[in-house]
Amino acid sequence: MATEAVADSHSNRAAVQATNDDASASKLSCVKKGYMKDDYIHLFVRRPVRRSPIINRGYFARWAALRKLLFQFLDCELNIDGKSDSKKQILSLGAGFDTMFFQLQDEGKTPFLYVELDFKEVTSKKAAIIETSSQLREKLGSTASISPEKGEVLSDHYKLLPVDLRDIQKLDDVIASAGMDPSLPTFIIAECVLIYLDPESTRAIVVWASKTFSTAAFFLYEQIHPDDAFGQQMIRNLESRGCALLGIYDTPTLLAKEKLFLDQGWQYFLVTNNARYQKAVAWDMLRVYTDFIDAKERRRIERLELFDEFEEWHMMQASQIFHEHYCVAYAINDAMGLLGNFGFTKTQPDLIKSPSAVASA
Amino acid sequence: MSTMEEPLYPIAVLIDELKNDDIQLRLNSIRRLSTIARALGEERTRKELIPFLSENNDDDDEVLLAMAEELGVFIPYVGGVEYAHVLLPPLETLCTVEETCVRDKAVESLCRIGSQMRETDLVDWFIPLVKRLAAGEWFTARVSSCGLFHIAYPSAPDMLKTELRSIYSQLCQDDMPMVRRSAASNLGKFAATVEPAHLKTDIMSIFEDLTQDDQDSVRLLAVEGCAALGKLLEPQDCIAHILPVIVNFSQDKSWRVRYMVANQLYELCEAVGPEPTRTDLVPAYVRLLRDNEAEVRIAAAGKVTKFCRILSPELAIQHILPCVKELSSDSSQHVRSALASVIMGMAPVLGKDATIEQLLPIFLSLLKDEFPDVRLNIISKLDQVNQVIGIDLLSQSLLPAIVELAEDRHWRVRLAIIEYIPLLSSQLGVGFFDDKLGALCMQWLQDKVYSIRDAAANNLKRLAEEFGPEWAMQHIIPQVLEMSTNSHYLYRMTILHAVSLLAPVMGSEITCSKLLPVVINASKDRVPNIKFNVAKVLQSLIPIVDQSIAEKTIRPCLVELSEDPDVDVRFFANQALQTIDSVMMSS
Amino acid sequence: MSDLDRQIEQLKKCEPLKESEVKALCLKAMEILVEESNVQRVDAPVTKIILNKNLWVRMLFGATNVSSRSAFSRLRLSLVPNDAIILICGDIHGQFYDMKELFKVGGDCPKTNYLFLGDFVDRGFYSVETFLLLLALKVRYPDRITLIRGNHESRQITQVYGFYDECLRKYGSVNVWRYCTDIFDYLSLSALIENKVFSVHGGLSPAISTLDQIRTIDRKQEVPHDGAMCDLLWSDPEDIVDGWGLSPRGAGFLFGGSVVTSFNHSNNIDYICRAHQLVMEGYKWMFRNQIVTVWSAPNYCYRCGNVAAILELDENLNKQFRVFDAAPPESRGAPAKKPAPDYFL
Repeated sequence: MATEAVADSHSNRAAVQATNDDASASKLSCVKKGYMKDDYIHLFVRRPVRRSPIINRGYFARWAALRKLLFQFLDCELNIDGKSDSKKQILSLGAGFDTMFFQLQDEGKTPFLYVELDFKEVTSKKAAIIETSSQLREKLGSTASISPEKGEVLSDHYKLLPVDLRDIQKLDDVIASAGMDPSLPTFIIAECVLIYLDPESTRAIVVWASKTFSTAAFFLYEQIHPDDAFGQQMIRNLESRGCALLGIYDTPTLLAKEKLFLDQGWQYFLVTNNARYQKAVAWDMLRVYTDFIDAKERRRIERLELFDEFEEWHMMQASQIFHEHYCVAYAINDAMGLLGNFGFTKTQPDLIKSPSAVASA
Repeated sequence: MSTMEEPLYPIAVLIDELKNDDIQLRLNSIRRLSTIARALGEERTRKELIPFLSENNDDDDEVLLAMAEELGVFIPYVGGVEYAHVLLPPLETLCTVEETCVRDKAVESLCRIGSQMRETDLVDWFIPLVKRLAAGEWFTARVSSCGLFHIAYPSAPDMLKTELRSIYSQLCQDDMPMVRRSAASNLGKFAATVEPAHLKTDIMSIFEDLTQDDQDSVRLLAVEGCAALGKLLEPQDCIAHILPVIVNFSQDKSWRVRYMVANQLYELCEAVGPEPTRTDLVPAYVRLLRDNEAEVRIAAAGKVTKFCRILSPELAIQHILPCVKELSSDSSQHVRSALASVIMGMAPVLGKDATIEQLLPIFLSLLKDEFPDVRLNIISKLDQVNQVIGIDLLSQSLLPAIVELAEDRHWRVRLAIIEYIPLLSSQLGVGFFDDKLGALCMQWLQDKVYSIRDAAANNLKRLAEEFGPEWAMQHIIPQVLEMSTNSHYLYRMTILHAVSLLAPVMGSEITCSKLLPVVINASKDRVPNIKFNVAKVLQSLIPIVDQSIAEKTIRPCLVELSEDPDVDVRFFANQALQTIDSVMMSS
Repeated sequence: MSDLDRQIEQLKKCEPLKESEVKALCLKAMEILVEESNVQRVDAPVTKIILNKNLWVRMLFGATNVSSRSAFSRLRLSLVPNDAIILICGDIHGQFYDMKELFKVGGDCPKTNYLFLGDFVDRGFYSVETFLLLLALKVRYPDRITLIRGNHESRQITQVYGFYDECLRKYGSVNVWRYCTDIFDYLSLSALIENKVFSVHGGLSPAISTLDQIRTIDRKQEVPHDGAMCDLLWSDPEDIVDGWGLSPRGAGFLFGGSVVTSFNHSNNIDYICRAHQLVMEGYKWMFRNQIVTVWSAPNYCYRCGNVAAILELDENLNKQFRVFDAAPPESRGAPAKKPAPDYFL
């Protein structure tokens, strides 16, 4: 009875956590159709479903964008004094059943440390699945300790820990117990996570991340444009399944997403002239798909589904509507001057002088 | 008897089906479980079927859910209550699966079985099961255990009772929030079985822990427990222990908790009684009505009438009404909509004067709300106000707004107004109706939306019933018949429909003299859709008019239509001719 | 009440028919549809046709006394009814309760005449009930309702976009899908209203410049991957295209205003009415009112938030668009396990 009453309200924890299962099932759908390679996601999906081509394509776009940015980050090298220290760490907020760590390992790109945080309900399940799968356990090495009861996995390079992201005080403890070194270059991932939190919590997390990691890139993938007809319907549909996008009105546009970071301290110094630059960039997914994702890959996946060459125009229309309601935003802190080549356009870094920098110049 | 007729299902066939790759087949065979059990007989069901089910529960959730449900009503098939315990093992396993709905169903079935089991069997079988689940390694078992204590507890000897209470207390402090949530949501049921002495000590201390849980989802469920616990406690204990908790919750930092308080407040008032309601809960409620979070205001606004009913009119006017005024122009349409759905009920509570002075202006502003749901919610409850302030005042103040809504952009709003018209006109009386509403009723017959035209025709019929044929002859029939030559076929069709509805009310004479000629005339329409509707209308007129008219006027017309080139015209004309024939035969 | 009338009542409640009933219904529908032209005429002026028809009826029934069903239906089809008064509807896509809303706004069939421009199935939760209701109405009132084929009335597309899965889910086998997709092959490709309004699901084809060329297509087949038949069901008008362009759909073409002008001129028609593309406002004119898109699935895929429209033509071919919203939640049935629309979560 009580649970029913809770389900009535527009946002509840269980429903938001259930989006994780939804996302995993969608990723598996993509894998099965050949959009992406992921040898592990099937271990996390109880009931495989077949998604429609538009959903597959959307998940592909998100996956490809994240990987391209992540690889850019991992490839950034500092060559001061001839020695290069490429120790890097990744922090995934609300990681769900993401399998990126395992993929990176297969691809020979294992980072120094990969830390995943989520609600205990989620990390417990994930730990339990890892525990029962020899395929996953092997990847973690023999010293790994796995505790579904605590919702924890601790191995050399991979840590999974439970936390309520809204509890900022605990975040420090958690990353400390995960062995993260705040001075190391850090890639922070938040895919469809912050948008479910109240705006205060989101801002607090963004501030915390900025203060904590002096050289870092923050990757954000989430919804925008709640106010047009499609957006309103999206809000209603997600609310009716208990997943209110509590943060969307606070950052409803690309500009607002950029501002979210700029206002919470994300900026970096360009080493050469010591001027302060801001760097936070948000693109809608249509642009990410057409202008950022590798064209060859795009052509490959557009031929994937049997009927894709017959893809109806109105679905393309719809997919435009769709893509314009999702975006990728990233922000950079660059104390080390490491991330000059990071971002959507490699050749021409998207440097925008902040008003304050202009004023002080 | 029936067992003889059922086909016999050897266990092997069942096993085959239960292992089939096709989930639909597995599902079907699980749903037929009782048939299978009857065929097997009680003993084989106990010794073969149930053990088989206990071992084969690694299936799709849908199958497991069906299994959990079936087993709940399985006592008769295993040999009655004395063998009920054999059903526990498969359900115990189902209590530990990952899918929540399967676990919930398994718990429900266990409760159903447990409540029929003999006391000694409960001690021997059921309580150990509860203890095993409560000590389960995986949290799912512990979550399920919480829902079983209220069945287990009453039969337990004292020692065991103490143990059960202590286990429950541990569950409330479990590491996993899911377990604490389950313990919180089941606390009321469990508490109802606990002796008063322990209630005040053990249970209240468990409750207080839960109310301070650091997870808002747990506190949320504790709110719900307030009302249930309150009803179990003596009034003074309730005020001492429950009231402060409610007041705290109404200011909880999580809006979801406040939302829950807003939803539950009425029940909580009942639990604490009238006096503390006035002193402590009115301020809490006012805070909720002014909460920052729209969701909370929606929940609170929806309870405003219920809440006012337990207050004196003075208190309601002094404390609640100012909030209601604010809410009527709330920035959230959902808040206004929730308010509009209940606010009319405040009229009887506040009495005539306050309604006129304070509520009417709010009604008017809500009637003009930009959000159609808000307007609809007000319109559909107008009669409640009518009883308080009388029709004159209502019509003076609200009618202009209603007339405006008669042309609302949203057809469902127009529909709501039309459906309200017969009631309104019966209360307003003939005179008022003629002046204001007559033209509107005709206008709706030519609405762009079919459902409105249809409702408009029905409305005319109800008006004719209300005010009588003579009145209708003057105020409806001429106007309607005038429209029978409208240049648009859809509107001509509406008129035909209206005629068929009005005829029975107007009686044979007027039908023959006024209505029938118009229908006959329409049979020469150039549009076949009109013509086959003419045939249908004529069919409906046959029982109303004299047989001679039917023969002389209706039949020839139908005969002509029955030779129409259009197949549908011929079909409906022939149908009508059959009706004439059968009427003639029977007379 | 006849079986068919009972089935229509049942379908109106969104209860699907039995497999055997579907089979029988499809057989009857096939008899009717096979006689229809590729350019199904929906004709006026009313009086003239009635005169002609009367003549024909007298000749047939009086002189030769032929009364068999097929002879009569051939008569009906060669002359084709009746009147221009008609409501033209675009894509429905299995949104059954929204189609009921459409009937609430437009009026029931047979009271009102309907032309549906295809895409009855896929996407929505009730493709089976939606298509069967329309088909049953077609069998019961062949002169009152015209169904033409959309690109989703195809074996290949329905296997990807939901109809196939829905049949499998609701019947436990794909027989119903087979019966329905077999019927799809018989659906007409276009309609011509009073010689003035050309109606088609998608659009024009570079292989076609006259209506007679459409009439010669052998349509009783799966929608081909290219060619005239495919184009009619797949093409789209496009502002920025001059002449013909490649379609991003991978089938059909994009065509510009000049193509429409010359088609309308050489076939002496006023405008083209088509569906196929979601338009958020329900309908959209293009190329100086030479072609209109009508979209009848409100809140498409339960996700797009759009309104829907139908086009009403009266006796004098006057146009009125009736715009409507999705059915409110309380007038929808509650499906047992209603899947939520997909997003990226």
